[in-house]
Amino acid sequence: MVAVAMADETEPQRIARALRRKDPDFIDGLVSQYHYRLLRYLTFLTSRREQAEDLVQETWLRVLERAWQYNGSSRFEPWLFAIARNLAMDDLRKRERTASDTVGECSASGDDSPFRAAAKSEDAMRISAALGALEPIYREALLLRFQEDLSLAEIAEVAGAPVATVSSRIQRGLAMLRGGLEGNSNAI
Amino acid sequence: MQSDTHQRARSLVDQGAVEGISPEEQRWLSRHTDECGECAGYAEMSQRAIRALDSFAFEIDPEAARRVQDAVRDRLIETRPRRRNLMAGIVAAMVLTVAGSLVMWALTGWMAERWGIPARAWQMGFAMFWVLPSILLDAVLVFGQRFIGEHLAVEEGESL
Repeated sequence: MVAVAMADETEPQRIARALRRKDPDFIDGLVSQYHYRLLRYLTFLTSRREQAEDLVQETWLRVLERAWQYNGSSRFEPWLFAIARNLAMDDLRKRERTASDTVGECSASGDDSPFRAAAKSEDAMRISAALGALEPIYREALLLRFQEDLSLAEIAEVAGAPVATVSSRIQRGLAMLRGGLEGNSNAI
Repeated sequence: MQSDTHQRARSLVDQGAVEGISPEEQRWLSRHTDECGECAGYAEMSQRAIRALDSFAFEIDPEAARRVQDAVRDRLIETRPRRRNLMAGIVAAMVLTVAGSLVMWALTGWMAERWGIPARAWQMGFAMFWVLPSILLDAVLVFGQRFIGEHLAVEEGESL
């Protein structure tokens, strides 16, 4: 990244400055740096790999449009994921109106599940079906807490929900995953 | 053991996984799970579920990030001329307003003198019907620049 750091500038402030200046090299670096995490987040949210890939690009284009909104006073990840989430939810709502699938179901069951394809351990295979069966809001909460390591307040900011609701979603999601591990479809 | 003790243990396991528990609560939980196999199993299952989440790895097309970078750069190139044109238009409008006002002031003064209109009268009329509307228009252009910029951004978003 080419942007020169100013004295005492935090990373979020540096990102905010580069976004407002529309620094192309810096933004290239951001795209690279966050590509996998953004794709993973959108896949968890939508359970559709191809759609997630399209949404990654739309997210960055929306970041360009809304660059003036990010001032670097908080971490970049929650702001980025919130943009991605809004796009994903808009897309899910459009699909609900036109498709016969209900929200939260995997676009394809069993072998076509993006979670099954991505599972790299036996336990991951066991919970992949449970993940696919969860509603997006529970998958999202689990990912943001345990893989992105966001705080509850940051997850609440992304999801637009109170902290208590986020906590409840994580616990419920974990309960479903425990059920998946135990081979019990009726989780506690 | 009391069922509410087990309930408390499971609740602490859940809370610990989500937001953490105090050292005192952790000590209580550890003592309980040392004695209660069922609750120890519950805690172990929770930890396994969390570790399993870390075992998902999505394959990435090596060119995927590059395609996104290209799309972003294309958008940056597209939007720069529009913003420059907008700024140039605003500056031109302001310059023309000032220049035009000076010309009209001189012309109005000359005509008023020929027709015997008192200076105060034509000057007040000029202020009301020429200068004020121009100032208002310039204020809209200057302070509305951000609004117009956002509107352009919304248009660009809708064109996706």
